[in-house]
Amino acid sequence: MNESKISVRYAKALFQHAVELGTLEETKKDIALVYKTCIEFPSFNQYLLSPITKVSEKKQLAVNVFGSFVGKETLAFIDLMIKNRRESYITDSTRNFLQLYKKHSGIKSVELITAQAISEEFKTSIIAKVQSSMNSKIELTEKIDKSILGGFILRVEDQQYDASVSNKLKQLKKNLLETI
Amino acid sequence: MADIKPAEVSEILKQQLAGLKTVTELEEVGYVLQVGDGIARIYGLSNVQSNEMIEFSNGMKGIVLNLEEDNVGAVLLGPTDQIKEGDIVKRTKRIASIMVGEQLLGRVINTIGEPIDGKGPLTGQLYEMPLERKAPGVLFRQPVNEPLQTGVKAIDAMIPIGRGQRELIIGDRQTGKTAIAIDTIINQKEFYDKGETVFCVYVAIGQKGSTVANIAKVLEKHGAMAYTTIVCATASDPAALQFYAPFAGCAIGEFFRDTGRPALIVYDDLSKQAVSYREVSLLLKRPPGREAYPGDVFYLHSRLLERAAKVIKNDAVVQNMNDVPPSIKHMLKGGGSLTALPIIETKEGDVSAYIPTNVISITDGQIFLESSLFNSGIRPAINVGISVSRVGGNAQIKSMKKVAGTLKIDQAQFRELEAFSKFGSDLDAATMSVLNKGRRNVEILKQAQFSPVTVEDQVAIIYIGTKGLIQDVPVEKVKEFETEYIDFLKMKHKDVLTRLGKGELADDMTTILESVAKDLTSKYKK
Repeated sequence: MNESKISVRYAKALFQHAVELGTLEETKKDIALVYKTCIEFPSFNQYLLSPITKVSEKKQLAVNVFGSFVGKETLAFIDLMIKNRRESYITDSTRNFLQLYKKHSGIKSVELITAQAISEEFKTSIIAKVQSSMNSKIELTEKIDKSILGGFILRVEDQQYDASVSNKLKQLKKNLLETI
Repeated sequence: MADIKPAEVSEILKQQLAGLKTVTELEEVGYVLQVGDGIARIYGLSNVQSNEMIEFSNGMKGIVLNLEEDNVGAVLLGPTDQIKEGDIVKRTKRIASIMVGEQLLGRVINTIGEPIDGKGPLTGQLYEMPLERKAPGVLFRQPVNEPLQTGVKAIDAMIPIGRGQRELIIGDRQTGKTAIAIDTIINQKEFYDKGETVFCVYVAIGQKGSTVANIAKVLEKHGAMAYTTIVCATASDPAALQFYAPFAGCAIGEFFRDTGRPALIVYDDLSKQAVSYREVSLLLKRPPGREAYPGDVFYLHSRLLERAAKVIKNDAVVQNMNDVPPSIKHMLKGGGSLTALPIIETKEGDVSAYIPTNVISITDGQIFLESSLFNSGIRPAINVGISVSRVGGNAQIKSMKKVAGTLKIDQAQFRELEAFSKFGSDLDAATMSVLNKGRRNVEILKQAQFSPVTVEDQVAIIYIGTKGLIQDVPVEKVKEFETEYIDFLKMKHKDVLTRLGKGELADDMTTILESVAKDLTSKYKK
C-alpha cells in the first residue's frame, strides 16, 4: 500500500481549511511546533502509536501537550487524526503541510553547513546570492559541523552544493584509488 | 619487475594531483526518514528514477525501488545498522549496474561486482553493464541450433540442451541439482582447451558460504575456474543483494553473449531468490499475493530468463540490437548465446507450488530429479518420464539424434513395465526383452559426479544400449563393460570415435561398434 497517500491527503485538507479560514500563518506556526515535538520527543510518538492506549486517552494527551500553545484548528486536526486511527501519520502529514506552506508562499528552505561559525557579512552575501539565483524568499538554517573540516555545504530544498574540504579529500582519495 | 625509484612514484602522484579536478557540482539529495530491515525511506530526491543507485553519506549504496507521493523506498546494499535516521542520501544518476570484463573469469564476486576471493581488486578494462536490461527483441534472435554439451549421458541423450536455451533443473533437496550444474560447467573444459570457450557464470543465491567455497574449490581442481565467474550472495547477505545476484550474473553473461561468444549461466537457486524478493516486497509494503509472494514474482523470473538467448549470426543486424549499454556498443558481434540453467528446489516433490509452476512455464523444459531414484542408486536421479527439453532436440548432433532417438520413450516404457513386473506374474518374452534392455540402459545412464563424458563416447555406448547388444552382460557388470568398451575403442578405433563426435554415423562405423561389442560381451557370457 502506498502509505504516503494518507499523510498527503490529511496535509492537503488542513492546508485548504487554513487557507479558507485565512489562518494560514497561525496554523503554520502551530504545525511547525507539532512537527518539532514529534521529531524531538520520540516518547510522545511512541505513546500515540501504542495500540493499548485508548483513543480518548490519546486525545487527552494531545490537549494536555498542545492545548495552551496551539489554536483550535490545529487541535481539531490532531483530534481528527487520532479519531480516524491515523495517529502514526501525524509526523508525516505535518511535514507535508509545512512543505505545502513553503510551496504556497514561495519560500525555499536553505541549509548552510560550515565547520566554524561564519561572519554576518559572509552570511548575508550568501543569502543575497541564493536569493537572486533562486528568485524566491529563503529560510536559512545554519549548522556547524566540525567533520566537514572546512569550506561549506549549501542545501537548497533537495539540491546540494558540497564545497567542503572533507568532500574534496574524498574525491581525491577516490581518484587516486581508481588509477591504481 | 624493474625497480621503481621513489622519486618516480612521487612524480606520477604529483602529476595525478595536478590533473585532479575537484569540480563541485550541484547534487540532488534527500534524507533518511526511516530505516530498518534493509529498507530505507527517504525524503527528498524528488527527481530520482526507479532502479537508480543512490549513495548514503557513509558511501554505502542503495537501489530505489518504490517511488511514492512524498517519499522514496530504497533497498540498502549493505548492513542496515550503518545508516541512521537523518543521513543525507545522494543521487548517482546511474541505473544499478555492474562492471564486467574478461578479468572476472576465475574470480568470486558479490552482487555489486566487488571481488570477495581475496585475490585483489579487478584491474584493466571493465565495461558497465546494467543489472536490469531488456532482453533482445525477436529480430535479434535465432532458433537454438547448437548443442550445449553437459557431459551427462542421460541429459545429452534424452533431454538435450541447446545454446541459448533455458532448461530448469528441479528437485527436492539432496537430489543432485547443483551436481548436474557443476558437471556441466566442468564439461566445458573440453571446449576451453579447444579454444572455443563457453564462458560460465555460477550464481549462488542464499547458500552457505562454505558451500560456495567448496564449489569454487571443485571448479578450481578440475581446471574450470579459468573460464568461470562465481557471483555469490550468501544467506547472511542483505535480501537485496540476494535477489539482485541473478541479475548481476546475467549482466556478466550478456557481456559475452553480445560480444559474439557462447556463455552458460547457472542460477542456484531461484526459489531462494523469490524468497528474498518476497522479503523486500513485504517490507516495502507491496500487497502480498499467493504464498505471500508479490504479484510481480512471475515477471521477476520471466524477465531474467528471457535474457538467455541465441543471438542472430548477422553482425549488421546485431549492430541495431535494442537496449545495448553504450559501454559495449563498439564490441557488438552476432552469433553469441546465453544458456540458462535455473535451479528450483521443491518441497516433498511438490511441483505445483507457486514458484515451481511459474518457472516451469517460463523455461524451455525441465530436468526433474527425484529423491526416490537418488536413494535407489540411480544417479543422476533424473525422472525421464516428466523431464523434457522443448527446443534442444534441434541442437543435438546428428549421430546422437540417430542413436538416442528412441531411448527416452524406451526408458519411460521400461519404467512402466517394471512397476508391473513387480507383481511377479509370468512375463512373455517381448516384455522380458524390454525389461532386460531397460535395466541395462539404466546402468549405462548412471554416471559418477565430476566425471563428464565426451559426446563421442556417449554416442558409442548408447548405440550399444539402444540396439540391445549387451543382453548377455549381467546388469551389475554393465559399468565394467562400458569402461572396457570405451577404452578399447579409444585404443583401436580412435577414428570412429572422432567421426562420431563430428556427427557422422555411417554403416562402416556401426559395424565396427557392433563387432567390438560382440567380442567383449562374449567374455561376460556364463
